[in-house]
Amino acid sequence: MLGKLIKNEFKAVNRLMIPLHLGLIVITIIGRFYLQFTVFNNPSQMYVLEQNIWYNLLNVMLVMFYIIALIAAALITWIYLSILRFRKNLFTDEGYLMHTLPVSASAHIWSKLIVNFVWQLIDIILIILSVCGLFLNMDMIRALPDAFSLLFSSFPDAFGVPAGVGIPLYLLLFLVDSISGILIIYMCIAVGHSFNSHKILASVGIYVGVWIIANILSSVCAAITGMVSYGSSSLLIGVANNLPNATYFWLSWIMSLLLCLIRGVAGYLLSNYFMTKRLNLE
Amino acid sequence: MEQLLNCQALSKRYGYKTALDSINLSLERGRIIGLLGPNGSGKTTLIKLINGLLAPSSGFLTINGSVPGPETKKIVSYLPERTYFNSWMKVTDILNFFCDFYENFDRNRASDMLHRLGINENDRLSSMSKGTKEKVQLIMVMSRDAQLYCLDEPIGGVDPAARDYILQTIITNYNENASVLISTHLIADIENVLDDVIFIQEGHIRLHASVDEIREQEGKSVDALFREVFRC
Amino acid sequence: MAWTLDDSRPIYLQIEDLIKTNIIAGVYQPGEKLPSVRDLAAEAAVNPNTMQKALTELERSGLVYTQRTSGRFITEDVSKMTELKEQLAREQIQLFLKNMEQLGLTKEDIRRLLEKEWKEES
Repeated sequence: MLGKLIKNEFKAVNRLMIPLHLGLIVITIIGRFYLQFTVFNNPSQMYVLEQNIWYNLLNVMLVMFYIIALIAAALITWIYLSILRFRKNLFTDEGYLMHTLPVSASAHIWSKLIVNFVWQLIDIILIILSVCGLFLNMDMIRALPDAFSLLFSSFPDAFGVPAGVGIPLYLLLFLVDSISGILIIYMCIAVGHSFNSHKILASVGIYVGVWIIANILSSVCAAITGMVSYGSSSLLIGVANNLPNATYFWLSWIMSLLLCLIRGVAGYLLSNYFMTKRLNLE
Repeated sequence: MEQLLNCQALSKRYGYKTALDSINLSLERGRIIGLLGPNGSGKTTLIKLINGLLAPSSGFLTINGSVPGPETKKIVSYLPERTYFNSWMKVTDILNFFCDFYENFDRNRASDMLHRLGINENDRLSSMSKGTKEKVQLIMVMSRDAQLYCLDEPIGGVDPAARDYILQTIITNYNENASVLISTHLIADIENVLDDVIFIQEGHIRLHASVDEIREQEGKSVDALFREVFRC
Repeated sequence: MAWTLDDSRPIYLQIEDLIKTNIIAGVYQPGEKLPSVRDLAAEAAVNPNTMQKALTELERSGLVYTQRTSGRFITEDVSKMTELKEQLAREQIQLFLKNMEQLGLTKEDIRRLLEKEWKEES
């Protein structure tokens, strides 16, 4: 049943996600041609200065438009998948169909989460590719090896561990954080819609509450890891003033991962409970 | 065989408002049952509880011996009083959706009924009138081989021809292992197709009897009795 | 045929009477197969259980019989039909006589009026 839910979920969200991301690709290609025939074909550093002010203004506006388009694509993807789709499909009129299907609440959550995650991943990859596709030229590609070796050599000084360890671990943390973030939003919607009225307001209120609690918790954890790594003085002078060390990296990484996992599991369990035992469709 | 539906001291409260007040009710198989009451009497609340769209405040209900959940949803077919399909969907999308999720969905029966109404399977819902959409939804719901059909106000606000079509659909899809629960406040229209009636008022069940009993004992139609019981 | 039902009596009794009338009027011929319960119910726009009950009553009175596999048939027993016809006629006559009585007519009066009526008709 999960497979069928996922299939139908993709079918529904692709209607918006595919055109949106095709648009992103089209903008990138047009932008690339534009840059190719103007800036990149004129190796002179002075090219930009030689043009008149209106022309430069136009270019600035185009770049701004592009950045706004990128942000819009990311925001629409996030808001639509994490909030709007979940709420509309499960807690409005469509919920009458979805919740009378012979599937469990957990299957609903998993199907929504998986499709959401896949599209957000595609979104991030496409945005990175778009930026690269727009601005990369041969000079930059030639400079890449040096840039990477600089990154790798300076990484230990900044984080206390080698880049080969730190980067994958931070990526993993980012992954878990994104998933638990989605689950927390699902939880807020599920709990908020168990109220008899002001369902949306309740959902937002719960989200704010959860956000505050999560921040307090992570501050407490940061303080603890700081004290363990640098002694109690770190509370006064701040962690940033200390030299990074491996203990601090590992402690803070594990703490963050634990917090994310707790958030994610709590989000999942509460969503499941409220969709099974406290469903309250208007 | 296990009783089809069984409610024990079932209550549902919304804040301070009590929608259902400790009702006891059991339904047998093979009956067409009218759930009759004025607006706001608790009809929709009861139907939503049966379908697991609401959780009881106290008491419990079982369908075929189990509390509402994925197992009971396999055998309950529900027509809500609102349209729940996305308007971008084509009729075939909906057919595929029902085939995917309901093992007891009979696609041929649905196609046949759609064909007889002249509804093209490639039509989008957005191009249909409200009445046609409602008929599509009814066809989907009645094309399942369910054991309990819950139809919430299926004839409210439809024209007489559509009403006759709906009643014909209910009669022709009848089978002796299944029961149909129809909520309405328009009794005269459906009285002839009912076996039993349940009068519900302010969250209480006032009467649960067969139509024949009422006519034999009271010498009047259920509609006339209803008007007496619920006189303002 | 029109399935006109009123509000006062149980529906299965009304259906039973309607089918009886149809048998006598020849709408259903002796030995003819009746449509299925489901079809009859749909035609009359009544509950299939109600139709079933009406048919069971008709079976009990012998006007309809069931062949295990092939369905329900109208009886071929002509005496049953005559009996039914006479029974229904008697019911009508009793009703008629009761009404005449209420008008204060004697048996003599009724006979005289009836013969007058027949003469005028022919």
